[in-house]
Amino acid sequence: MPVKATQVELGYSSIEEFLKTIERRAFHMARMATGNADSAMDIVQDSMFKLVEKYAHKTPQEWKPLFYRILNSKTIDYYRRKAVRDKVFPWSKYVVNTDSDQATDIVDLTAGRLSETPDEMMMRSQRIDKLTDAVNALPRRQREAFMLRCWEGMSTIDTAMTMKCSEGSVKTHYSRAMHSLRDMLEDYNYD
Amino acid sequence: MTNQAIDNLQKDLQKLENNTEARDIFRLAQARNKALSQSDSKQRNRLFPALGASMASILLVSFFFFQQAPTSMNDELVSDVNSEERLSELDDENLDLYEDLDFYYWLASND
Repeated sequence: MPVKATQVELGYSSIEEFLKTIERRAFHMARMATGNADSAMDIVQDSMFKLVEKYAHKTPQEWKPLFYRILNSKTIDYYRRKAVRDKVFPWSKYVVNTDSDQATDIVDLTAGRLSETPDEMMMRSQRIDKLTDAVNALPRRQREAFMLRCWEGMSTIDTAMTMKCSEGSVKTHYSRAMHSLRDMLEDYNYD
Repeated sequence: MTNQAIDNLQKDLQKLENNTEARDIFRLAQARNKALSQSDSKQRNRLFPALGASMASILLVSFFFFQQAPTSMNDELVSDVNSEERLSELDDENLDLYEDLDFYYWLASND
């Protein structure tokens, strides 16, 4: 019976259900960190592969911290590869390949937005752009702490485990992240 | 940052997540299925080293077996050659003696 209660609390009992619940958030986190949807997709896919390959036998409670730890390390790998690529091929920095370049089909934008008016959609889009810029401007460790604590809603213990640091460090990173965001998002209007 | 502001941020992030583009949702589902299907293929791949090791050990054993076999055959050949040599050493008279040996036994028993 306690197992069932835990499953209800977690919302998943199999690795497939877990991946379903987490994939979109992970994708947006990676997208915020890289600024590129394709790279974010690669990072999420690699993280899923590694989780299933190495840690599928672990308990469902352990999957979330492990997955985000893998996601963070894959994101760091992406930065390293990018830094090397920028050194070897300096001109690649000038080839802008961000999401804004990609033409988006209007059909792709329809899901889940029927409840909003065009004005609301535009306002929300602007807020999210501003938030994305602010989060991108944060140092890596602060960004990780913010995303895991604020967005994912992880406990300090789980966040510390994911970030491979002490709980005190998590609190410090999170606090600094919130201070920085407060400064950057002073005019963050929410209706 | 106030709790209200944090709540607002969380709401926006949640909306961002909920409004993931259909194309990205499709690609995520593909990535998930690929990740999940690899566990089966991995198990199959794990059999290959074991299969390879057993095949190698069979080959090794058979190699040593056939290495041993020719030497024993050589021994037999040598022994055959020796027996032929011994036979050739026997002259015709001795051969006759051996051929008539049964007769001599019969003669001795009658006496």
